[in-house]
Amino acid sequence: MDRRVLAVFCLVAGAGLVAQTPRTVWDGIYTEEQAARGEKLYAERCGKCHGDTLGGQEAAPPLTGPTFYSNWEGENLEALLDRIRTTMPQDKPGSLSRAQNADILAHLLHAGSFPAGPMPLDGQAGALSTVTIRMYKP
Amino acid sequence: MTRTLRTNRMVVAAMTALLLAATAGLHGQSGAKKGEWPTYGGDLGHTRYAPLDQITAANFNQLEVKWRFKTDNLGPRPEFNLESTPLMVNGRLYSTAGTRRSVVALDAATGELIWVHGENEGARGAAAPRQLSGRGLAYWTDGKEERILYVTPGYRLVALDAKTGNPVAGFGRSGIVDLKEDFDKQKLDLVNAPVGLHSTPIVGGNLVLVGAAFETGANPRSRANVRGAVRAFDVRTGKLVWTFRTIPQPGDFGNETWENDSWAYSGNTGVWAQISVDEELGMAYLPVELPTHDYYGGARPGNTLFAESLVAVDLKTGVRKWHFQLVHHGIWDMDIPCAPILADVVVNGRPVKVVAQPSKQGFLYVFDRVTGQPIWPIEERPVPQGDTPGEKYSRTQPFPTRPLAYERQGLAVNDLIDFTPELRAEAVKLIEKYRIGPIFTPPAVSKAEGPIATLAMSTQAPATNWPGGSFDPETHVLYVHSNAQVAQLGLVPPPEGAAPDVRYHQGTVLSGARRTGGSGSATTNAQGGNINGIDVRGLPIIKPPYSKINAINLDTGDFVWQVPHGETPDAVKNNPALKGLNIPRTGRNGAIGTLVTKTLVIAGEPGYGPTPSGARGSMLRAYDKRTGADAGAVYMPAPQSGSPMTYTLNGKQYIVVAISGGTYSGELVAFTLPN
Repeated sequence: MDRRVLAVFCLVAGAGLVAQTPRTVWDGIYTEEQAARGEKLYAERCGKCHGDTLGGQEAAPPLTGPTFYSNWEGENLEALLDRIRTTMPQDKPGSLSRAQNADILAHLLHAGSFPAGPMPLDGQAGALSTVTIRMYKP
Repeated sequence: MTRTLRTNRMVVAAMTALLLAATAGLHGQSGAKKGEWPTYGGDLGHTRYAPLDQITAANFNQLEVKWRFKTDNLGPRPEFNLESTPLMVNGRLYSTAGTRRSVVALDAATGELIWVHGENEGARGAAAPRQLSGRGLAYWTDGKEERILYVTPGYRLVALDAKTGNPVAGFGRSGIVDLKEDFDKQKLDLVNAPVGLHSTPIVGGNLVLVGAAFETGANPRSRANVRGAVRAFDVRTGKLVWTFRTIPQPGDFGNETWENDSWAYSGNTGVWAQISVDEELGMAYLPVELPTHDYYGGARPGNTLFAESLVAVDLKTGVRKWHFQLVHHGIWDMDIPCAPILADVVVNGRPVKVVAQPSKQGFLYVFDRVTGQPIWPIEERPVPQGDTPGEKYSRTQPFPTRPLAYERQGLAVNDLIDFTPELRAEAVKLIEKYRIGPIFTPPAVSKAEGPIATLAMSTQAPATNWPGGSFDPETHVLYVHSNAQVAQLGLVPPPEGAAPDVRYHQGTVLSGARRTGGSGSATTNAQGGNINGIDVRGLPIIKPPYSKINAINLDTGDFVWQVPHGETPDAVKNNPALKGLNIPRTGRNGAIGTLVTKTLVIAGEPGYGPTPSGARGSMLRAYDKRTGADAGAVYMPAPQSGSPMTYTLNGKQYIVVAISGGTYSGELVAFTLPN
């Protein structure tokens, strides 16, 4: 009986997953316009600590380059968005909206030379959980 | 031949015995004693050494997690950058942790929480320039009473009863000294004044010493800022005993080194790194950072003492005994980032008490810590001059002649990536529009036609940062981790209205909406991975090693060994451009502290990387301290973010290290051997 319940649950959960096709950061998941908005927000809210070049400074790590992408390689983009959403900016964590955080994330992706696409990055909860961070094109 | 060798060995042995006898009376810095770890650096000289020998090369791989302590709920949100080195005294482990920098006391055997103290500083905490859990705390006892002292993010010095965690009523006001008050005659806004401290206070004698840190200085809002100063308080009462001004005011020694009266408004010049103390000599060693503005000194012409100087002061009075400026008129954000290491060594047959200062610039500066005289000559040499309008460069800089720099400095074509001739050629092309040169090549005003910036290693992207090094008092070998990484030192006008009296901010014409108004300004790279084009196909523009641990004999200034630290990053290993090539261990970049025991040097790998099991994480590594050979590695789910420490309890040696990063929130992990 229990097994049957579990099987049904797995089917339902599986259907949900199928609906969200696995993607990577190489699949054109943000728009140029969104990245431009994000760049402005980044300069206002993030650059003071992380640096204009995203290279990091005394009290904040770089947000680009091999070290950054090694640290996030294989993680899903939702995790990175959550990290930004809950802990940044450090002087007022949680003060940016999901849409704003998605814009900033788009700027990071653009700065990382990942291609833009026709649809903006969706900041809604769970939307990015099937997008994997890959430094190199799969 | 054999006989000769034997004879020589006997002579050497006899000489060594004599020298050991000669140094035995010095009561120098001998590491953490009694199996405890009572200060941030193991002892007041920051040797990060403990003569424990249960964990060795023979069993390091068998280490198991004994306990973990998760720090998520110590503040309103989890922290992902736990930098603490805990203390262990009398079976209790003390640490700062969590986003509000709470203090916890744990059972050192089990990790069970005994007490926790937190301060909700509200708006003052939110405005703090140095947030999160900080690097730890200090312990004091008179044999009866025990206290824990730490500095909150909002810059208040708190004394707690180590047994209960309650604030000590007789210290300051209800256990707290407000460090924004009585701060070298400066009137500071108690909520918003941008001053704080990441590092720990240090207790020497009956005094507790505290430095100061500020917002990072690349893009200051003004040439004026809060002045740094070091203060000492009575550890029993919290009463201010002395203040050492790091920016000398009129009448003070060194005031004339601030030209155009720039002493009057310039700020920073704090001591944000760890201070070291020699209680026997009655001296404290202050590593001072640079003044306001990390990269442009036009508003503060002159050598500006005591910027980027190692200053020795009388522990009881704060009066300066000697100083040595490591960088004149600094414009590279070199600071002095870590604890001066106090060591008793034997140079040319003469026992000498030295202080050895690792640095961002990859030099190890070694002085007689009584007199301030360099142990080996430090020469003033001419350095490159720049062309930034308004800047007044120092014509010379100090160059230690021994030890040689332990990390690469500046940038030359020979430093560039050379896995293949094609990659080298791409790198050479890439730097065409950048300025390169030896150490002390000045930052460049950024221009689209070039120079876009100065590219340099061992500056703002440091060789060694806040974790500093370790020293083995038995073998006289100093260990220090270093990075080879390239910073872009470019100057651009500040955004309109953002900083009216500041001529330049750090940045380049390629970066930032404030600079160009367009996201499309970043150069693109078909292989991905980077902004602004200073990496080559997602690979560091320089050749490896990207990081290493350096072992330096302080009796001779010779290198004993240097080994890459950290398995080759995935980003390099899996790079399509390197397909088919055999890449040796490259090391990985990070701020890494080392621990020395009877036989091992222990340090976690920087950042996430490949692990033997394939699990996401990082390895805690051990090296044979004599040779640098691999001596074992154990898995951690996240990289080391604080420096490891060790202690013995109930017959067991523990290694505790703070880990965090990426999606993994701050955690203390204790390793022991299986029963």
